[in-house]
Amino acid sequence: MFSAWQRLQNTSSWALSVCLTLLAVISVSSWYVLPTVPLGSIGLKSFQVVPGSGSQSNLEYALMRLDVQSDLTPLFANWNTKQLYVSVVADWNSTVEGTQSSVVLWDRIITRKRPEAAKLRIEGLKAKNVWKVRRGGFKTIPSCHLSLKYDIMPYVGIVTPGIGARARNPTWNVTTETATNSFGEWDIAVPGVKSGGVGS
Amino acid sequence: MFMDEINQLRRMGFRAILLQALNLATIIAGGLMGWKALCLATNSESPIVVVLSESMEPAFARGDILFLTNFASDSYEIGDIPVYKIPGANIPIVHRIIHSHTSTVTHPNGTTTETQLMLTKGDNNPTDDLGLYHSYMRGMKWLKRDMVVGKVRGFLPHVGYVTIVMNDYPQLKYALLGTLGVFLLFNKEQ
Repeated sequence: MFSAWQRLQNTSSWALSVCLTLLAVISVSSWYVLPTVPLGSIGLKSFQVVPGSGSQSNLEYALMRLDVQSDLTPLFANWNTKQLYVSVVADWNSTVEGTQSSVVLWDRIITRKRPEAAKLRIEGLKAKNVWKVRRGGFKTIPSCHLSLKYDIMPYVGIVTPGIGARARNPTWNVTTETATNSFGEWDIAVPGVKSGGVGS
Repeated sequence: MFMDEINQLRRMGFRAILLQALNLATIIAGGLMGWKALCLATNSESPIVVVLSESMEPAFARGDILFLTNFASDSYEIGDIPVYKIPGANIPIVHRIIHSHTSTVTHPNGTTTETQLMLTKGDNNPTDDLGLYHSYMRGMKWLKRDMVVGKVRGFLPHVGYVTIVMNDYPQLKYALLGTLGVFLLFNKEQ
């Protein structure tokens, strides 16, 4: 009554629907029990503005050292976390250009739950992507937010973002004093750190 | 082997054959309608894409399926993964945003327009996409919203490999479609 072909067809369609249902249940359920992490901290250790040279002489760079602490292990308690994309992001508004900007200063991909991988405790972190604005641009940035963001990549399902740490004092202020402290030709200014407005 | 089928066709009669053909057409039209409905619902020209490159490893591997949305209200932030298509490039690219600059212009009549400039980078690439932009479009410094096809919302691993294999071996695709069509045509409701 049933041919081999029909048996094969029935079995494969049953297997397919079981797989699809299972995947749907995994992605939806893991989204409902999405873990959160205790907010860690970012401290600004040093901050320097240096002018670019050569073809980049119309730009200036920010060189900085950061202390980053954040425990991201709870995110791996979820059964559907394949990896984390973790990035230290600087967000600022420029008063002159009227723009809202965000730049990734540093990033890392974490694929393991082990504390040495998922528990960040980095001192003197150096930016991977140099933060650069046009010459004189840092003077027009009154404040900047530093935060550690994560994006959860699932095994299957929905991609979810989150925040793992913020700067302890989330804004740094370029005081008038440091702003007039001239970002001159080869000067190096350390805004904020002098006036104690940064980090701690 | 084929004699049986031909005999079956003879027995079915003209009306029954037409009915089967109609069934086949319904299935094809249904698929197309479903796809177009999904395009409308997500506001994206291609809401489901298959990853072709290794540039986003280990997040996305070759053959993974991505589900996109492209609503006007979607905001693109750092860490988000847009799929974008540069005019002149034949395949869309899926990479992560690492820079974003949004400027808002208020017009005299009170309305505002936002322009967002973005820079992307593949997780597995050593450098950002600036060189890629240049290679497709001279003078392109930033990715703008109108080149974005959609934002990655959902992920399904490996399944898209079927389409990669079919694109690499077109004969396989036609053979598969042909067999499927023949089976649908001869499949009788018992």
